[in-house]
Amino acid sequence: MKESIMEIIVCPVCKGPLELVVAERNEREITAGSLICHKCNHTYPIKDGIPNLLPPDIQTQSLQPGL
Amino acid sequence: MNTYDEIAESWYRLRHWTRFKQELDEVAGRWGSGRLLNIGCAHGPDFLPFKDRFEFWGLDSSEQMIAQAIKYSAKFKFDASLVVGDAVKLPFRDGVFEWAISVAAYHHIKEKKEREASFRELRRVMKPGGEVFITVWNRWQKAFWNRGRETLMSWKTRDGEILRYYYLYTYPEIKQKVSAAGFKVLKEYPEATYKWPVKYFSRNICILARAN
Repeated sequence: MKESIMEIIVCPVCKGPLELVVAERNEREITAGSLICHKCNHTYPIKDGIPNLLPPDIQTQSLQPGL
Repeated sequence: MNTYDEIAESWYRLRHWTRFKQELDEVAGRWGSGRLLNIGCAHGPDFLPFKDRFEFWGLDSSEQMIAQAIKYSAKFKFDASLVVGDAVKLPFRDGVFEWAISVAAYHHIKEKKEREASFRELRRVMKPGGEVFITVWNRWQKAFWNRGRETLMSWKTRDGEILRYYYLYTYPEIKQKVSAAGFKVLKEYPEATYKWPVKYFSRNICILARAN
């Protein structure tokens, strides 16, 4: 992900700001790190350049369908 | 792993091109340029009609779909900010998008209150006066007359069969839900390839709406 997306993204739950912690970057983008919401006390991962901003309850639950 | 992670690779191959080229070309012409959000973007084929004139943002609940979108954007030489996220709880600030598209995504949301929340979330991230183009499957398409409002559809992969959940909207219901979330529905219409004079049996319902 590019650092500039920080201007648009927020915590999906409280819509508050996220703190970016960079673990790894190349000349173009951030490839690994974390996005931390201090209010919700939750860390959203950045893996292979992709930020995962699924809410905590969905990150853990299975998305398999069923009626 | 979620259902869409499992089908992501075959989706990239078998749904390589958008199925709504004519409809998307039309809204791309209408909108001109600006910041565009694609909800349930999968590997990103619906971005192509907007290429070079819009700033692309894509969201999908499947990590594997977003990984395929990175591959697709490299292949077709476009730049997109891609995030894994949930349409029911969008990870974006209020009022930051001029335009949004969502092709065949909202019919996958299972709970009533989440379906309603998803349209309110879409409205929240839109600028007032911004427009959205949404497609969902139509409950009254001929192939579904024997199905209920909720249905499971099969997708075959090398490893077996995957069932995907659908909530089937009707024309009046999708219009009502989108309006209730704070949009004015400008147009409700069938896919371009549908040729019958009565729209109510089309395969898809297309909605063009403006944020109040």
